[in-house]
Amino acid sequence: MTRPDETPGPDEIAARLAKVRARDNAGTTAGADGPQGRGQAGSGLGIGMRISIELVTTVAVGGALGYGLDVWWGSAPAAMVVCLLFGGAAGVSNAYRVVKGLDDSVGLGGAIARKETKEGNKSRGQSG
Amino acid sequence: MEAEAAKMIGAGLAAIGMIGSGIGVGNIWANLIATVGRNPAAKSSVELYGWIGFAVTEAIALFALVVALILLFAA
Amino acid sequence: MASPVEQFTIKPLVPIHVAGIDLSFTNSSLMMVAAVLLPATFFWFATARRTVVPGRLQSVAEILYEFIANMIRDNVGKEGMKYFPYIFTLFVFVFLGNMIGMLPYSFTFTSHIAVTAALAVAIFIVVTIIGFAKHGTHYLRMFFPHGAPLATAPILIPIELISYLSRPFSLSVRLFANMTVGHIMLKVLAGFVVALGIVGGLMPFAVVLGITVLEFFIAALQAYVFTILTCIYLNDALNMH
Repeated sequence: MTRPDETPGPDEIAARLAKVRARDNAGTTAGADGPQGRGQAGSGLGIGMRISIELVTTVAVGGALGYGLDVWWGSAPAAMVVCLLFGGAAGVSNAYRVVKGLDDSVGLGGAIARKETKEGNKSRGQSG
Repeated sequence: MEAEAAKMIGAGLAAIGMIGSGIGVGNIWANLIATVGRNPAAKSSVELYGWIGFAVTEAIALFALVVALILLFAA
Repeated sequence: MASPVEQFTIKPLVPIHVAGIDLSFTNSSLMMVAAVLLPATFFWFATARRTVVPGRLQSVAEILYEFIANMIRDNVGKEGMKYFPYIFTLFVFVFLGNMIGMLPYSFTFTSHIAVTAALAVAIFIVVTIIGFAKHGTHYLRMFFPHGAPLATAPILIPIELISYLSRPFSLSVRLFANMTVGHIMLKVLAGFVVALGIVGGLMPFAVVLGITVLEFFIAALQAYVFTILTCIYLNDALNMH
């Protein structure tokens, strides 16, 4: 224990915080992360709006990217066609993320794997 | 008719193709919801097909968009 | 009656023209200055007398600090605390921008895509630079998942790349669309109250009340979403799964 007038170092503060948090979370874990994850925060309207925004923006970004490449390479319309299709695929994968409540980090496969491990841990924790 | 005007009209006509895709996507989700409503246990197995169907139908809309954008910007 | 989108017009308050570029101090700039000065003075007073047992102001400041610090610790990890000032500023700026917009006769600067896009593009560029500075060209490895068959690379990499590039757009459009749609809806419904008179207007008035509460909630939620997505993007750049 440090005396109150002595400033505790950041490591010590972190250790104390972790201790307090562990005590606080002991009773409230079930309530803290229910089925309503962060990705699904908000109403159905919010989710629908997010999906439409994702679909439109990814296709638009793909189209813009392809158009830029076409202007650069002089290959109109090949790059735009390809990039639009990739943009559509990216849009669908992003919409899938929104609906499934996956995290928004790079890599859809990684996001699915991370969610599965998280849920696996949770179900094991509840049964054990 | 001027070529520029014909391009714009053509792009507009090409975009009509998205109507079908819209109907298709609506159909897929409507049927998926109906299926899950009747048999909630089937949700996990049916959902994947729903997403595949959605992606494929969405691709049809993209073809229409591609044609429209080619007419507008590239042709 | 004024049109529902009139509330979004930018009016120059102090016209400034430098070399043909319009740099006028507008109502939007005024609100942004307010969104910067308000929290600055607040934190100045809140931290003026630092005590072990916090007073009222200090408690609010500490709750805000803890909120953002926890968000960074949960989503990024300890090394993300280096970027705490930026994320905290971002949250307070967007949050106050949304909240100031809820005051009658004020102006919502987050309902302009120029503002949200500037914020989102800045985040995108900063995060990309951090990623390249920390991992070098190895950062590009992120676009191809480990363990996936090599034959899928020509398909997966462009998809992930476009998905990555679309981040600033979806980030900015989400905030902008939410704020704009909410304010237009409020204005249209409030127009019904005026048009229908005292008796008929009661029903829309109740709806407007409810929507106003919802708008306050959305204003806070969108600031939160904006900040937490910044944290997730930062986590990608720092920890690279």
